[in-house]
Amino acid sequence: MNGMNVFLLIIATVAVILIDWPEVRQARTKKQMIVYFSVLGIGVTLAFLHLLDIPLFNPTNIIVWLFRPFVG
Amino acid sequence: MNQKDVAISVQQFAIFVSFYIIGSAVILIPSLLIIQAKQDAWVSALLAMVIAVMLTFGYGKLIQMFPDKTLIEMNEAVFGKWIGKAISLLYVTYFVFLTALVTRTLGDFMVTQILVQTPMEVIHLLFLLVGVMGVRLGLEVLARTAEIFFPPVLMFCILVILFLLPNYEVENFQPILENSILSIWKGTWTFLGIPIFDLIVLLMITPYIKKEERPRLQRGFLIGTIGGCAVVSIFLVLCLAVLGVDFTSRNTYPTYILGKRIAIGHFLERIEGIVAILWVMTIFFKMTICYFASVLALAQIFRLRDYKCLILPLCYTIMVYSIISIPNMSYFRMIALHYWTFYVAIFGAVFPLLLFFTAKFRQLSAKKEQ
Repeated sequence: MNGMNVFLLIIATVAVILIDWPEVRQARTKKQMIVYFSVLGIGVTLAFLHLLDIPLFNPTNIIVWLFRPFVG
Repeated sequence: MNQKDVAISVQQFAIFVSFYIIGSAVILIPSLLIIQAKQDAWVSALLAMVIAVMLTFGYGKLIQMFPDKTLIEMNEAVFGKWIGKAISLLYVTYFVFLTALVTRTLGDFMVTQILVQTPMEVIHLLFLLVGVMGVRLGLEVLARTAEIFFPPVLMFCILVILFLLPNYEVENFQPILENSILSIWKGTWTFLGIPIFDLIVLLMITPYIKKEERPRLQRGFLIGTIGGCAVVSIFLVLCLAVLGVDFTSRNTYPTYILGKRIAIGHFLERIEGIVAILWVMTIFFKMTICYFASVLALAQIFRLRDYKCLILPLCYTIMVYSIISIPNMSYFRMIALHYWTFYVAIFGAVFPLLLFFTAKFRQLSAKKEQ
Protein backbone atom coordinates (compact mmCIF):
# COMPACT_ATOMS: atom_id res chain seq x y z
CA MET A 1 0.00 0.00 0.00
CA ASN A 2 1.21 3.44 -0.88
CA GLY A 3 0.53 6.02 1.85
CA MET A 4 0.48 8.80 -0.70
CA ASN A 5 -2.41 7.13 -2.56
CA VAL A 6 -4.47 6.88 0.63
CA PHE A 7 -3.75 10.54 1.36
CA LEU A 8 -4.91 11.47 -2.17
CA LEU A 9 -8.03 9.36 -1.72
CA ILE A 10 -8.92 11.23 1.47
CA ILE A 11 -8.28 14.61 -0.17
CA ALA A 12 -10.39 13.62 -3.20
CA THR A 13 -13.27 12.44 -0.98
CA VAL A 14 -13.28 15.69 1.01
CA ALA A 15 -13.23 17.63 -2.27
CA VAL A 16 -16.15 15.59 -3.64
CA ILE A 17 -18.23 16.18 -0.50
CA LEU A 18 -17.45 19.91 -0.63
CA ILE A 19 -18.42 20.10 -4.31
CA ASP A 20 -21.65 18.16 -3.85
CA TRP A 21 -22.68 19.58 -0.48
CA PRO A 22 -24.74 22.54 -1.78
CA GLU A 23 -26.82 20.22 -4.01
CA VAL A 24 -27.27 17.56 -1.34
CA ARG A 25 -28.34 20.18 1.22
CA GLN A 26 -30.60 21.95 -1.24
CA ALA A 27 -32.67 18.79 -1.66
CA ARG A 28 -33.45 18.87 2.10
CA THR A 29 -34.52 15.26 2.17
CA LYS A 30 -33.11 12.56 4.39
CA LYS A 31 -33.39 10.04 1.55
CA GLN A 32 -31.13 12.08 -0.73
CA MET A 33 -28.45 12.27 1.99
CA ILE A 34 -28.68 8.54 2.71
CA VAL A 35 -28.41 7.59 -0.99
CA TYR A 36 -25.60 10.08 -1.55
CA PHE A 37 -23.49 8.89 1.37
CA SER A 38 -24.22 5.21 0.59
CA VAL A 39 -23.00 5.54 -3.00
CA LEU A 40 -19.99 7.57 -1.87
CA GLY A 41 -19.29 5.11 0.97
CA ILE A 42 -19.37 2.10 -1.36
CA GLY A 43 -17.07 3.87 -3.84
CA VAL A 44 -14.55 5.04 -1.25
CA THR A 45 -14.51 1.62 0.46
CA LEU A 46 -13.89 -0.10 -2.88
CA ALA A 47 -11.10 2.35 -3.69
CA PHE A 48 -9.55 1.93 -0.23
CA LEU A 49 -9.68 -1.88 -0.41
CA HIS A 50 -8.16 -1.72 -3.87
CA LEU A 51 -5.33 0.41 -2.52
CA LEU A 52 -4.79 -2.20 0.22
CA ASP A 53 -4.46 -4.84 -2.54
CA ILE A 54 -7.42 -6.77 -1.17
CA PRO A 55 -9.10 -8.81 -3.95
CA LEU A 56 -12.53 -7.37 -4.71
CA PHE A 57 -15.71 -8.87 -6.11
CA ASN A 58 -15.14 -9.05 -9.84
CA PRO A 59 -18.22 -9.15 -12.12
CA THR A 60 -16.32 -10.72 -15.02
CA ASN A 61 -15.61 -13.82 -12.89
CA ILE A 62 -19.34 -14.08 -12.17
CA ILE A 63 -20.11 -13.78 -15.89
CA VAL A 64 -17.63 -16.55 -16.70
CA TRP A 65 -19.03 -18.76 -13.92
CA LEU A 66 -22.66 -18.13 -14.96
CA PHE A 67 -22.29 -18.74 -18.67
CA ARG A 68 -19.64 -21.47 -18.75
CA PRO A 69 -22.31 -24.19 -19.31
CA PHE A 70 -23.44 -22.38 -22.50
CA VAL A 71 -19.93 -21.94 -23.82
CA GLY A 72 -18.63 -25.40 -23.02
CA MET B 1 -33.62 21.50 -12.45
CA ASN B 2 -36.02 18.82 -13.53
CA GLN B 3 -34.31 16.56 -16.05
CA LYS B 4 -37.53 16.17 -18.05
CA ASP B 5 -37.28 19.85 -19.02
CA VAL B 6 -34.23 18.91 -21.07
CA ALA B 7 -34.99 18.24 -24.72
CA ILE B 8 -32.84 16.96 -27.55
CA SER B 9 -33.78 16.61 -31.19
CA VAL B 10 -34.20 13.35 -33.10
CA GLN B 11 -31.20 14.28 -35.23
CA GLN B 12 -29.04 14.60 -32.11
CA PHE B 13 -30.40 11.28 -30.87
CA ALA B 14 -29.50 9.61 -34.20
CA ILE B 15 -25.94 10.96 -33.86
CA PHE B 16 -25.82 9.58 -30.30
CA VAL B 17 -26.90 6.16 -31.58
CA SER B 18 -24.29 6.04 -34.32
CA PHE B 19 -21.50 7.31 -32.02
CA TYR B 20 -22.61 4.78 -29.43
CA ILE B 21 -22.26 1.92 -31.93
CA ILE B 22 -19.01 3.20 -33.43
CA GLY B 23 -17.63 3.89 -29.90
CA SER B 24 -16.05 0.66 -28.82
CA ALA B 25 -16.89 -1.44 -31.87
CA VAL B 26 -14.89 0.27 -34.61
CA ILE B 27 -11.56 -0.64 -33.08
CA LEU B 28 -12.38 -3.90 -31.27
CA ILE B 29 -14.90 -5.64 -33.53
CA PRO B 30 -12.80 -6.25 -36.69
CA SER B 31 -10.32 -8.44 -34.85
CA LEU B 32 -12.95 -10.30 -32.80
CA LEU B 33 -15.14 -11.00 -35.82
CA ILE B 34 -12.29 -12.12 -38.04
CA ILE B 35 -11.10 -14.56 -35.35
CA GLN B 36 -14.54 -16.22 -35.50
CA ALA B 37 -15.59 -15.95 -39.14
CA LYS B 38 -12.21 -15.48 -40.91
CA GLN B 39 -12.62 -13.95 -44.41
CA ASP B 40 -16.43 -14.25 -44.13
CA ALA B 41 -16.55 -11.76 -41.28
CA TRP B 42 -18.28 -9.25 -43.53
CA VAL B 43 -21.23 -11.68 -43.85
CA SER B 44 -21.38 -11.84 -40.04
CA ALA B 45 -21.41 -8.03 -39.90
CA LEU B 46 -24.25 -7.83 -42.45
CA LEU B 47 -26.26 -10.41 -40.53
CA ALA B 48 -25.66 -8.50 -37.28
CA MET B 49 -26.83 -5.32 -39.00
CA VAL B 50 -30.12 -6.99 -39.99
CA ILE B 51 -30.64 -8.21 -36.40
CA ALA B 52 -29.75 -4.73 -35.12
CA VAL B 53 -32.46 -3.21 -37.33
CA MET B 54 -35.00 -5.73 -36.00
CA LEU B 55 -33.93 -5.01 -32.43
CA THR B 56 -34.26 -1.27 -33.05
CA PHE B 57 -37.84 -1.87 -34.23
CA GLY B 58 -38.49 -3.78 -31.02
CA TYR B 59 -37.07 -0.99 -28.87
CA GLY B 60 -39.11 1.48 -30.93
CA LYS B 61 -42.29 -0.43 -30.02
CA LEU B 62 -41.37 -0.21 -26.33
CA ILE B 63 -40.74 3.53 -26.66
CA GLN B 64 -44.13 3.95 -28.39
CA MET B 65 -45.82 2.15 -25.50
CA PHE B 66 -44.11 4.33 -22.87
CA PRO B 67 -43.04 7.56 -24.59
CA ASP B 68 -42.47 9.53 -21.37
CA LYS B 69 -40.75 6.82 -19.38
CA THR B 70 -37.13 5.74 -19.13
CA LEU B 71 -36.28 2.04 -19.00
CA ILE B 72 -36.24 2.14 -15.20
CA GLU B 73 -39.66 3.78 -15.02
CA MET B 74 -40.98 1.24 -17.57
CA ASN B 75 -39.79 -1.61 -15.32
CA GLU B 76 -41.65 -0.21 -12.33
CA ALA B 77 -44.78 0.54 -14.35
CA VAL B 78 -44.97 -2.95 -15.82
CA PHE B 79 -43.50 -5.32 -13.24
CA GLY B 80 -44.68 -3.46 -10.14
CA LYS B 81 -42.70 -1.70 -7.43
CA TRP B 82 -40.51 -4.46 -5.99
CA ILE B 83 -39.83 -6.71 -8.99
CA GLY B 84 -39.40 -3.58 -11.11
CA LYS B 85 -36.90 -2.12 -8.66
CA ALA B 86 -35.00 -5.42 -8.47
CA ILE B 87 -34.68 -5.61 -12.28
CA SER B 88 -33.74 -1.91 -12.35
CA LEU B 89 -30.96 -2.51 -9.82
CA LEU B 90 -29.61 -5.25 -12.08
CA TYR B 91 -29.68 -2.71 -14.92
CA VAL B 92 -27.72 -0.24 -12.76
CA THR B 93 -24.98 -2.84 -12.15
CA TYR B 94 -24.90 -3.49 -15.90
CA PHE B 95 -24.67 0.23 -16.77
CA VAL B 96 -21.89 0.81 -14.21
CA PHE B 97 -19.99 -2.25 -15.39
CA LEU B 98 -20.36 -1.17 -19.02
CA THR B 99 -19.04 2.32 -18.22
CA ALA B 100 -16.06 0.75 -16.44
CA LEU B 101 -15.35 -1.57 -19.37
CA VAL B 102 -15.57 1.22 -21.95
CA THR B 103 -13.16 3.30 -19.86
CA ARG B 104 -10.85 0.31 -19.57
CA THR B 105 -10.76 -0.37 -23.32
CA LEU B 106 -9.80 3.26 -23.94
CA GLY B 107 -7.17 3.18 -21.16
CA ASP B 108 -5.66 -0.02 -22.50
CA PHE B 109 -5.54 1.35 -26.03
CA MET B 110 -3.81 4.55 -24.87
CA VAL B 111 -1.28 2.71 -22.72
CA THR B 112 -0.35 0.11 -25.34
CA GLN B 113 -0.41 2.30 -28.46
CA ILE B 114 0.07 5.99 -27.72
CA LEU B 115 1.02 7.00 -24.14
CA VAL B 116 3.16 3.97 -23.38
CA GLN B 117 4.82 5.30 -20.20
CA THR B 118 1.69 6.81 -18.64
CA PRO B 119 -0.04 4.86 -15.82
CA MET B 120 -3.41 3.58 -16.93
CA GLU B 121 -5.10 4.96 -13.80
CA VAL B 122 -4.20 8.51 -14.84
CA ILE B 123 -5.76 8.05 -18.27
CA HIS B 124 -8.91 6.56 -16.71
CA LEU B 125 -9.15 9.40 -14.21
CA LEU B 126 -8.71 12.13 -16.83
CA PHE B 127 -11.21 10.49 -19.15
CA LEU B 128 -13.72 9.95 -16.35
CA LEU B 129 -13.38 13.54 -15.16
CA VAL B 130 -14.30 14.79 -18.63
CA GLY B 131 -17.23 12.35 -18.49
CA VAL B 132 -18.23 13.72 -15.07
CA MET B 133 -18.22 17.22 -16.52
CA GLY B 134 -20.31 16.10 -19.51
CA VAL B 135 -22.91 14.34 -17.33
CA ARG B 136 -23.07 17.32 -14.92
CA LEU B 137 -23.67 19.72 -17.80
CA GLY B 138 -26.52 17.53 -18.97
CA LEU B 139 -27.90 15.78 -21.99
CA GLU B 140 -28.51 18.92 -24.05
CA VAL B 141 -24.87 19.99 -23.88
CA LEU B 142 -23.73 16.47 -24.71
CA ALA B 143 -26.11 16.34 -27.67
CA ARG B 144 -24.84 19.66 -29.02
CA THR B 145 -21.23 18.50 -28.58
CA ALA B 146 -22.05 15.32 -30.50
CA GLU B 147 -23.52 17.46 -33.28
CA ILE B 148 -20.28 19.47 -33.44
CA PHE B 149 -18.14 16.33 -33.52
CA PHE B 150 -20.24 14.60 -36.15
CA PRO B 151 -18.78 16.30 -39.30
CA PRO B 152 -15.12 15.70 -38.32
CA VAL B 153 -15.85 12.05 -37.46
CA LEU B 154 -17.58 11.56 -40.82
CA MET B 155 -14.76 13.35 -42.64
CA PHE B 156 -12.07 11.25 -40.91
CA CYS B 157 -13.93 8.06 -41.83
CA ILE B 158 -14.14 9.09 -45.49
CA LEU B 159 -10.47 10.17 -45.52
CA VAL B 160 -9.26 6.86 -44.09
CA ILE B 161 -11.38 4.88 -46.58
CA LEU B 162 -10.08 6.95 -49.51
CA PHE B 163 -6.43 6.97 -48.45
CA LEU B 164 -6.40 3.21 -48.09
CA LEU B 165 -7.74 2.64 -51.64
CA PRO B 166 -4.31 1.78 -53.12
CA ASN B 167 -3.77 -0.95 -50.49
CA TYR B 168 -6.92 -3.01 -51.12
CA GLU B 169 -6.37 -6.66 -51.98
CA VAL B 170 -9.50 -8.47 -53.13
CA GLU B 171 -7.79 -11.88 -52.73
CA ASN B 172 -8.03 -11.43 -48.95
CA PHE B 173 -11.78 -12.12 -49.18
CA GLN B 174 -11.32 -15.42 -51.02
CA PRO B 175 -12.43 -18.18 -50.78
CA ILE B 176 -15.86 -16.82 -49.97
CA LEU B 177 -18.02 -18.84 -47.52
CA GLU B 178 -15.28 -21.42 -47.03
CA ASN B 179 -16.03 -21.64 -43.32
CA SER B 180 -19.12 -23.16 -41.76
CA ILE B 181 -22.34 -21.25 -41.18
CA LEU B 182 -21.71 -21.76 -37.45
CA SER B 183 -18.49 -19.74 -37.56
CA ILE B 184 -20.35 -16.92 -39.36
CA TRP B 185 -23.06 -17.03 -36.69
CA LYS B 186 -20.39 -16.93 -33.96
CA GLY B 187 -19.07 -13.73 -35.54
CA THR B 188 -22.57 -12.26 -35.63
CA TRP B 189 -23.12 -13.26 -32.00
CA THR B 190 -19.94 -11.42 -30.98
CA PHE B 191 -21.00 -8.30 -32.92
CA LEU B 192 -24.41 -8.42 -31.21
CA GLY B 193 -22.69 -8.46 -27.84
CA ILE B 194 -20.33 -5.54 -28.17
CA PRO B 195 -22.44 -2.70 -29.52
CA ILE B 196 -25.91 -3.98 -30.52
CA PHE B 197 -27.52 -5.31 -27.34
CA ASP B 198 -25.88 -2.38 -25.51
CA LEU B 199 -28.29 -0.10 -27.39
CA ILE B 200 -30.78 -0.74 -24.57
CA VAL B 201 -28.87 1.94 -22.60
CA LEU B 202 -30.28 4.53 -25.02
CA LEU B 203 -33.80 3.83 -23.69
CA MET B 204 -32.70 5.88 -20.68
CA ILE B 205 -32.53 9.04 -22.82
CA THR B 206 -35.51 8.63 -25.18
CA PRO B 207 -37.99 10.50 -22.88
CA TYR B 208 -35.80 13.59 -23.26
CA ILE B 209 -36.46 13.86 -26.99
CA LYS B 210 -38.60 16.85 -28.00
CA LYS B 211 -42.30 15.93 -27.90
CA GLU B 212 -43.06 17.38 -31.34
CA GLU B 213 -40.30 15.24 -32.87
CA ARG B 214 -41.30 11.97 -31.17
CA PRO B 215 -43.14 10.59 -34.26
CA ARG B 216 -39.80 10.63 -36.11
CA LEU B 217 -37.95 8.90 -33.26
CA GLN B 218 -38.18 5.40 -34.74
CA ARG B 219 -36.71 6.68 -38.01
CA GLY B 220 -33.89 8.47 -36.20
CA PHE B 221 -33.11 5.37 -34.15
CA LEU B 222 -33.00 3.28 -37.34
CA ILE B 223 -30.82 5.75 -39.24
CA GLY B 224 -28.39 5.96 -36.31
CA THR B 225 -28.22 2.18 -35.99
CA ILE B 226 -27.72 1.57 -39.70
CA GLY B 227 -25.16 4.40 -39.94
CA GLY B 228 -23.15 3.16 -36.94
CA CYS B 229 -23.24 -0.48 -38.08
CA ALA B 230 -22.27 0.58 -41.61
CA VAL B 231 -19.19 2.46 -40.37
CA VAL B 232 -18.10 -0.53 -38.23
CA SER B 233 -18.72 -2.92 -41.16
CA ILE B 234 -16.76 -0.69 -43.56
CA PHE B 235 -13.77 -0.66 -41.19
CA LEU B 236 -14.06 -4.42 -40.84
CA VAL B 237 -13.98 -4.80 -44.64
CA LEU B 238 -11.00 -2.41 -44.76
CA CYS B 239 -9.13 -4.52 -42.20
CA LEU B 240 -9.82 -7.63 -44.27
CA ALA B 241 -8.91 -5.98 -47.55
CA VAL B 242 -5.74 -4.27 -46.36
CA LEU B 243 -4.39 -6.35 -43.48
CA GLY B 244 -5.78 -9.81 -44.26
CA VAL B 245 -7.21 -12.48 -41.96
CA ASP B 246 -4.03 -13.54 -40.09
CA PHE B 247 -2.72 -10.09 -39.27
CA THR B 248 -6.11 -8.71 -38.20
CA SER B 249 -6.95 -11.64 -35.94
CA ARG B 250 -3.58 -11.38 -34.16
CA ASN B 251 -3.98 -7.66 -33.39
CA THR B 252 -6.24 -6.19 -30.72
CA TYR B 253 -6.51 -2.82 -32.49
CA PRO B 254 -6.29 -3.56 -36.24
CA THR B 255 -8.18 -0.38 -37.18
CA TYR B 256 -5.38 1.66 -35.62
CA ILE B 257 -2.81 -0.35 -37.59
CA LEU B 258 -4.81 0.53 -40.73
CA GLY B 259 -3.92 4.18 -40.16
CA LYS B 260 -0.23 3.25 -40.13
CA ARG B 261 -0.61 1.64 -43.57
CA ILE B 262 -1.72 4.87 -45.22
CA ALA B 263 0.96 6.10 -47.60
CA ILE B 264 0.07 8.59 -50.34
CA GLY B 265 3.19 9.46 -52.30
CA HIS B 266 5.90 10.22 -49.76
CA PHE B 267 4.18 13.12 -48.11
CA LEU B 268 1.08 11.67 -46.41
CA GLU B 269 2.12 8.80 -44.18
CA ARG B 270 1.45 7.36 -40.72
CA ILE B 271 -1.76 9.22 -40.02
CA GLU B 272 -2.93 6.69 -37.42
CA GLY B 273 -3.59 9.65 -35.12
CA ILE B 274 -6.71 10.33 -37.20
CA VAL B 275 -8.06 6.87 -36.37
CA ALA B 276 -7.21 7.40 -32.69
CA ILE B 277 -9.00 10.79 -32.64
CA LEU B 278 -12.03 9.29 -34.37
CA TRP B 279 -12.20 6.52 -31.82
CA VAL B 280 -11.60 8.67 -28.75
CA MET B 281 -14.30 11.13 -29.89
CA THR B 282 -16.89 8.41 -30.34
CA ILE B 283 -15.97 6.32 -27.29
CA PHE B 284 -16.26 9.44 -25.14
CA PHE B 285 -19.93 9.61 -26.04
CA LYS B 286 -20.46 5.92 -25.36
CA MET B 287 -18.84 6.27 -21.94
CA THR B 288 -20.75 9.43 -21.09
CA ILE B 289 -24.12 7.99 -22.16
CA CYS B 290 -23.51 4.87 -20.06
CA TYR B 291 -22.40 7.04 -17.13
CA PHE B 292 -25.47 9.26 -17.51
CA ALA B 293 -27.71 6.17 -17.66
CA SER B 294 -26.13 4.72 -14.49
CA VAL B 295 -26.59 7.90 -12.48
CA LEU B 296 -30.10 8.59 -13.77
CA ALA B 297 -31.17 4.99 -13.16
CA LEU B 298 -29.91 5.13 -9.59
CA ALA B 299 -31.68 8.44 -8.98
CA GLN B 300 -34.94 7.11 -10.44
CA ILE B 301 -34.85 3.88 -8.43
CA PHE B 302 -34.56 5.87 -5.19
CA ARG B 303 -36.90 8.58 -6.52
CA LEU B 304 -34.42 11.42 -6.02
CA ARG B 305 -35.32 14.84 -7.36
CA ASP B 306 -31.96 15.38 -9.02
CA TYR B 307 -29.39 12.91 -10.30
CA LYS B 308 -26.46 15.32 -10.25
CA CYS B 309 -25.30 14.74 -6.68
CA LEU B 310 -24.66 11.05 -7.52
CA ILE B 311 -22.25 11.73 -10.39
CA LEU B 312 -19.02 12.18 -8.43
CA PRO B 313 -19.65 9.43 -5.82
CA LEU B 314 -20.30 6.89 -8.60
CA CYS B 315 -17.03 7.87 -10.25
CA TYR B 316 -15.12 6.01 -7.49
CA THR B 317 -16.85 2.70 -8.22
CA ILE B 318 -16.41 3.09 -11.99
CA MET B 319 -12.74 3.98 -11.52
CA VAL B 320 -12.04 0.92 -9.34
CA TYR B 321 -13.91 -1.47 -11.61
CA SER B 322 -12.27 -0.05 -14.73
CA ILE B 323 -8.97 -1.23 -13.23
CA ILE B 324 -9.87 -4.55 -11.62
CA SER B 325 -12.59 -5.98 -13.87
CA ILE B 326 -10.21 -6.91 -16.68
CA PRO B 327 -6.61 -7.93 -15.84
CA ASN B 328 -5.44 -7.57 -19.48
CA MET B 329 -6.72 -7.31 -23.05
CA SER B 330 -6.22 -11.02 -23.79
CA TYR B 331 -8.66 -11.77 -20.98
CA PHE B 332 -11.02 -9.14 -22.37
CA ARG B 333 -10.87 -10.75 -25.81
CA MET B 334 -11.66 -14.12 -24.28
CA ILE B 335 -14.64 -12.66 -22.40
CA ALA B 336 -15.85 -10.75 -25.47
CA LEU B 337 -15.57 -13.80 -27.74
CA HIS B 338 -17.24 -16.37 -25.49
CA TYR B 339 -19.19 -14.89 -22.58
CA TRP B 340 -20.08 -11.22 -23.00
CA THR B 341 -22.95 -11.63 -25.49
CA PHE B 342 -24.80 -14.06 -23.17
CA TYR B 343 -24.57 -11.49 -20.39
CA VAL B 344 -25.74 -8.49 -22.43
CA ALA B 345 -28.45 -10.52 -24.17
CA ILE B 346 -30.21 -10.76 -20.79
CA PHE B 347 -30.38 -6.96 -20.55
CA GLY B 348 -30.67 -6.16 -24.25
CA ALA B 349 -33.11 -8.87 -25.36
CA VAL B 350 -34.58 -11.05 -22.57
CA PHE B 351 -35.72 -8.31 -20.15
CA PRO B 352 -37.02 -5.98 -22.91
CA LEU B 353 -38.99 -8.90 -24.45
CA LEU B 354 -40.40 -9.75 -21.03
CA LEU B 355 -41.24 -6.10 -20.53
CA PHE B 356 -42.97 -5.86 -23.91
CA PHE B 357 -45.09 -9.00 -23.54
CA THR B 358 -46.05 -8.26 -19.92
CA ALA B 359 -47.10 -4.73 -20.90
CA LYS B 360 -49.14 -6.10 -23.84
CA PHE B 361 -50.76 -8.71 -21.62
CA ARG B 362 -51.66 -6.07 -19.03
CA GLN B 363 -53.10 -3.81 -21.74
CA LEU B 364 -55.22 -6.67 -23.10
CA SER B 365 -56.51 -7.70 -19.68
CA ALA B 366 -57.33 -4.05 -18.86
CA LYS B 367 -59.33 -3.81 -22.11
CA LYS B 368 -61.21 -7.03 -21.30
CA GLU B 369 -62.10 -5.72 -17.85
CA GLN B 370 -63.48 -2.54 -19.40
